[in-house]
Amino acid sequence: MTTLRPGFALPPRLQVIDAATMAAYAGATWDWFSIHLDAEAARRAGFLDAIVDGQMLGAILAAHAQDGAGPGVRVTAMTFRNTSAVYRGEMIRVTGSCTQVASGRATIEQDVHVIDPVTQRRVRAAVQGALTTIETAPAVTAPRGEP
Amino acid sequence: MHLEPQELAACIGLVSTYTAPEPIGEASFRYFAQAVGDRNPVYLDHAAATAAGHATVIAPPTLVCETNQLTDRRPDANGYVGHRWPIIPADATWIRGGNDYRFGRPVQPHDRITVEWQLVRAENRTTRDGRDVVMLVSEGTYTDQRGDLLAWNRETLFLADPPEA
Repeated sequence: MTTLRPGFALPPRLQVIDAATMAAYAGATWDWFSIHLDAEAARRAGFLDAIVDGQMLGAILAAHAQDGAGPGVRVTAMTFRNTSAVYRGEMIRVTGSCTQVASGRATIEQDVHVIDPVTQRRVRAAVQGALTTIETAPAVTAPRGEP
Repeated sequence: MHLEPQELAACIGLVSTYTAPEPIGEASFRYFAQAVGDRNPVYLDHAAATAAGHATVIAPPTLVCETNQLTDRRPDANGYVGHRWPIIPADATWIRGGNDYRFGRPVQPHDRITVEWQLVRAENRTTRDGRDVVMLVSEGTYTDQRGDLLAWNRETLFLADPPEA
């Protein structure tokens, strides 16, 4: 496991959220809300194109935090605010750094920006100042439920 | 969008509860992980999960808060199958404000999940660019068939008038 310490910068994560990804996410979450899949429906709602479900960015933040912290960690809490839409086909960059480590837990502060895929310059912020808490020494999970 | 203060006040405390018709299942873990591009092996591989201290594969952490699998509802005219508070006008534009999550023990394939949603805040607001919106804050508590806590989710949504045609 990566040795987390305040100031440690997690490797950035680049991801393009294309139509296939959005369709897969819709199926995986049983959410076929038309503004996430259909450009015309999204425009009628006031958007420029089909928009990425804002909660999907939460899942990506969790993946970024766990990947950056190394194997064996677990996300225990998250707070994120969606500041602008991400449109189908756009590239995002997730960045973050560790801000606190105490009592077996670490806090990661993260941002998500839409970036130009060629220049990789920031276009706009999609999430700013997200906080993800990870447990660096998770307890053993006992088996539950019917086998 | 602007709703009457009495109407907003009257809906504070509304509760809706959904129990999934079946256990959440391993396939849902793999589907979600594939969709978001999360390759953590503890969601997919039993050997990796047990090596990490789990009894079995576990769910990607945010899946339980994101999935509508639990509701067993039919899609509406917009393809939406999740929970909708009665106060929300049918033609409102929904804008996600954000979420706060707290996770209990990891979700496992045999968990049959119940979510109880409560509407905790409903207010008329004006955005920085002068747009009138309604802010709704809801809290969802997710438990397994034994009542063990799996997750808690505070969700902020903003409702706006649809753009003029």
